[in-house]
Amino acid sequence: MRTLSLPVAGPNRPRTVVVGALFATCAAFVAFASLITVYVQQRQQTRAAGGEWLASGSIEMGPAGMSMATLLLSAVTVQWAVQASRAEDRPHGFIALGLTLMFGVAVINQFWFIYQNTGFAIDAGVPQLMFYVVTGSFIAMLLGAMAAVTVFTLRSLLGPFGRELAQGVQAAAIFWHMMIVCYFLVWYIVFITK
Amino acid sequence: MFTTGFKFFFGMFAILTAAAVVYGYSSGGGHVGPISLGWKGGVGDHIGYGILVALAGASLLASLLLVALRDADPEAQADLLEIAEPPAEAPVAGSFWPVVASFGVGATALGLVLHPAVFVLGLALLFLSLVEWTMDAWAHRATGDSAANRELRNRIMAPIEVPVVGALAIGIVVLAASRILLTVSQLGAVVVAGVVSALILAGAIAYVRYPGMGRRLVGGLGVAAALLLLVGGVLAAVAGERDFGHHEAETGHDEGVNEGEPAKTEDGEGGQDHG
Repeated sequence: MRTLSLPVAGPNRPRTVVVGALFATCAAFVAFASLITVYVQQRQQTRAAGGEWLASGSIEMGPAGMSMATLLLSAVTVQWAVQASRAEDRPHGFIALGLTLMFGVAVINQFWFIYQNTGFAIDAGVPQLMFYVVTGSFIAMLLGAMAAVTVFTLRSLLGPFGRELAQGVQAAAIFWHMMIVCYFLVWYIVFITK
Repeated sequence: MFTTGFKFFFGMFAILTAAAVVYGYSSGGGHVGPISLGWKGGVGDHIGYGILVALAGASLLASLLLVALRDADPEAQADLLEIAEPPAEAPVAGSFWPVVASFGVGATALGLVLHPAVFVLGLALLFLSLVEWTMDAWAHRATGDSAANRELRNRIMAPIEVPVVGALAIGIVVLAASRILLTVSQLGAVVVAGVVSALILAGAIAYVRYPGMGRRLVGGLGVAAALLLLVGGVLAAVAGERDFGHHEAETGHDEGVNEGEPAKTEDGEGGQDHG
């Protein structure tokens, strides 16, 4: 097959993927927020019945706060990846992607510490179960966001479409930012107000 | 100035915000709780209020981004690409991978309740869909020639797909045939194996003798045979294997028992003392 003589594919409509990702992001946000509301309702009902939700001092604030700070930093680096893809700037694009993924892995690592530190058992009651449901859902969302950013950035910087596919990185970045908002909810509702 | 998408979603935001406040107060919220997201006072029913607030937030986000992206309308995109005519999207080829992926999601969810094997099967289907769907999407727009795109996709994926699908097909045939032969009686197994072998031989002879035989007919017969084998294998698996215990206990050297080894009885104990 003589690929050199083949016609070039027509241009993509660049913002279509961004708008599609926006709707998917909104749907994921509503789903996660609904999960948080179930957590809050269960907590309120337990306390109204005179029960204890999570024992005082059972969760350290440090790792959760550091995760929030880490994710705020990643909001900058993911936008850096978007900008680098638009400019077809491979070195900066790879640095930004690497930093973003490193921050994501750091957050997962901190959650691992939190799980070890709290020593909660998933079958030890509704509070512990809900704790794992909410934080586990967040980690799944974080892994999805990391996969999306990786695939889109690599395709943008290495693939045949180059700058045109930077819109894909922007779409993944929208999901990443939403994931940070979701962690803010987790941080405030699960870790701060407990 | 304000695009249609912005007007729609901002209107949704306003309505949902009002609905959340009204719902909060009507479901037991107090003081200024429903207005301040629960900062001062209760919000009433947490789930209903929370979902309405989340929907309002998502609508606000959608409205702001849509006005920034000008609803992704063709003229704005043409302007962004600095071309005169808005680019037309090439028609997307049909794909069954979304359907496979949806089965994977369902199997994964059901597997959490039913059996780990179903869960693993669901994950495998999801992974398969992810790879195949991604490759299809990539190849679909690799060049402007659809035939070349198909060839390009097959050049990359066929060396992986053919051995994997071949191995899976062989595995399924062996598994299904073994279930059938283990379910029917000993004599029945011999008859089934003999008849099927004879049919395969007859089919092969007919195919060689009459090369003009329609490919559709051969393909149809092959699919029918595969379906029969699959259905038979599933039914046989549900029915279970025939009872081997009595015969083993009587003879001491039957199927699955090598000479010199103690025969197994139904309760799994060595059969030498009983035989």
